[in-house]
Amino acid sequence: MTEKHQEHLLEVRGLQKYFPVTKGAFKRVVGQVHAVDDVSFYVDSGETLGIVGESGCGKTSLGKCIVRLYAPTAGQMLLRDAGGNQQDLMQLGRRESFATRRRIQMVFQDPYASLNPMKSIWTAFDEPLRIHGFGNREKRLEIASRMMEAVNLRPEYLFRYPHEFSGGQRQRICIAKALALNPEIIVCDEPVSALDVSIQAQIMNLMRQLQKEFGLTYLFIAHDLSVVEYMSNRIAVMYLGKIVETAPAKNFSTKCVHPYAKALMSAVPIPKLDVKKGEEIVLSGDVPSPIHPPAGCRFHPRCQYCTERCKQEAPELRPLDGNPDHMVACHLVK
Amino acid sequence: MDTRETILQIENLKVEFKVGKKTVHAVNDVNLTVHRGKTLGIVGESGCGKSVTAHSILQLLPSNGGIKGGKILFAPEADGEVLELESMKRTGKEIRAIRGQKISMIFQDPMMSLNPVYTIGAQIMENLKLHEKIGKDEAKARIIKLLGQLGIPEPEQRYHEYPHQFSGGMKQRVMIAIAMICNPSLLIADEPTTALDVTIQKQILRLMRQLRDDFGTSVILITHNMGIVAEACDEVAVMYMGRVVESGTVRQIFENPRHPYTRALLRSVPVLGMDDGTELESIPGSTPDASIAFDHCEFEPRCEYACERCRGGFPQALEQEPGHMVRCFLEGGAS
Repeated sequence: MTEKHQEHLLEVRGLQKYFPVTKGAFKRVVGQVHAVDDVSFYVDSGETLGIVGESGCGKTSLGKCIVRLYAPTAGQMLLRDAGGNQQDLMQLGRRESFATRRRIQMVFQDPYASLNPMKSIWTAFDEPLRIHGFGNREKRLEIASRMMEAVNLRPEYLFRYPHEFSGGQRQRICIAKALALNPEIIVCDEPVSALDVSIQAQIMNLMRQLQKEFGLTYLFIAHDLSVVEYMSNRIAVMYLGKIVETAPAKNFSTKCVHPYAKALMSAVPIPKLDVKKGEEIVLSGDVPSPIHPPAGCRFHPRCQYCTERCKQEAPELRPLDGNPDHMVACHLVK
Repeated sequence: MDTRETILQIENLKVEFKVGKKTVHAVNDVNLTVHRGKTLGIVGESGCGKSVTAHSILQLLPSNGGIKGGKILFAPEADGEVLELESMKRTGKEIRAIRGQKISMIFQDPMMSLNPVYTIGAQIMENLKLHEKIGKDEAKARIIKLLGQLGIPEPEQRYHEYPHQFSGGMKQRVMIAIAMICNPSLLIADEPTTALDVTIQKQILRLMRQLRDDFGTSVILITHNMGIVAEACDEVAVMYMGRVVESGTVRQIFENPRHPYTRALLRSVPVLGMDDGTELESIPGSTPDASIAFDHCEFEPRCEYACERCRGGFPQALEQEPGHMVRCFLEGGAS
């Protein structure tokens, strides 16, 4: 088993991120938002793991924990280094974690908000390159130009300002910026959802092409299932801070078994007529508050198959039919 | 205009905005027809003029914009009178009698559209009292009944609650209640589900379909998502840069898309269950700046079939088969 773990580039075990809810002048802690609750998964080198879920399910918090914009409450994040050793990112000191930060980069949702309007694109590129010691100005400029070319933008554009670019171009710049540090993993948090339909396809194609070119590993976080299915090798579905199902992306829409995953799939509007979508499930109600998540299975209040056991006992993520690639957390699935 | 079949007809609508010294031609020569009891979808990317078209129906354009030509004909009743909405004064009595009563609107973001300091009951009541002479108790009973019909649990109690006590999907239901309380004959929904999650979106779309069937309300559904069009609409108009480039029934558009933009739009979205190996076809470039006036087909710079003729002028919309209009030189359009 340990042998197998060595192959995973990043392995996350029992990751938790709670946010305290405070009240009053003394910031008394009155509760915890269970944003990410005991999440375990792995990503192999060169693959794309898609993380999908509705707003508030903790997918962005999970992404931010991995790039350590948030300090997780508990858990392990094991990153394999060049020598094949696993380092727990949570245990590293400031100095050691500095080097690993370069290896995991992030692309954010809103390309309008993620570039400083006062600074030229070059300044945005230069800062991380300088901090991580990528040589003198000439060298850094060369790297930045190369990255701009990699995302099909002209290197001259480096000296322009963000307002001169369209949304799609800005997202290309953000991707180029993330690539500049030569990372292994890129956490993409809803990279296309703020873009127009015709631009989304450009960005998705570009990301797939860059993945091949640079041998990147993506953690692709999105709410749009058709986008996630298109981009990913494997998919993890999250609900209220927990992963409810992970499976290969190919034909995920027909192969998923968890009631929530199925409902999510059936809710996606398909731009085709007369499609047979299997059973149509319309979930009633809303996602409960992550401050007081329901006891037992977190999906039970909205689940049509809910049993007594679901209300009391939280299901574990277990392999389906002994297949370790397809894990489901549901009592009703054998 | 055949008032028995058609509830709203827009003819050659032109809307302009003044931005600084520039004039932005937001909507150009738009023709749309909404049939009684049907849902018309208007699709397009941001800035294509789909919202402006909808807002101009109710004279809701900001003060720097105005209708510069064309007609908006509205027939609330079959065989009844035909109102010319474009000629009404923006703040006049006539249009105010129509807004919220004959034609109502739902906006994209339900969190922004409700007043946080009034109970939702009071906000629905406001619209009802404005348009109908009705006693308070009777009005309240009617509102509670409607809230129940719209799938809000415990409507008697919810009537007295404030917007912050409602979730996003529930707020959108309240918005629909405000819009539907006077039994409008036309409902304009401007991206009603964009701010909502997919499972909630499904609930709202199903609800809107049910409203169309139960109340016989005609609907204009503005969206950028082709999936929603396939699921919820009867007819579609595809807009690009202020023009309707193609329109027809959902079947015509999805089975036989003729305009290069429509075809590209349909091919550029990933579909569930699609093979992983296929690469998405993307439309090169991005939408041009709306303040630059074109002297020829707006889609020409991004069109893969563009030829010399396309740079010569604007194609006219041509009817390909009954009800299916396409605006493209390659489909026989003349300039």
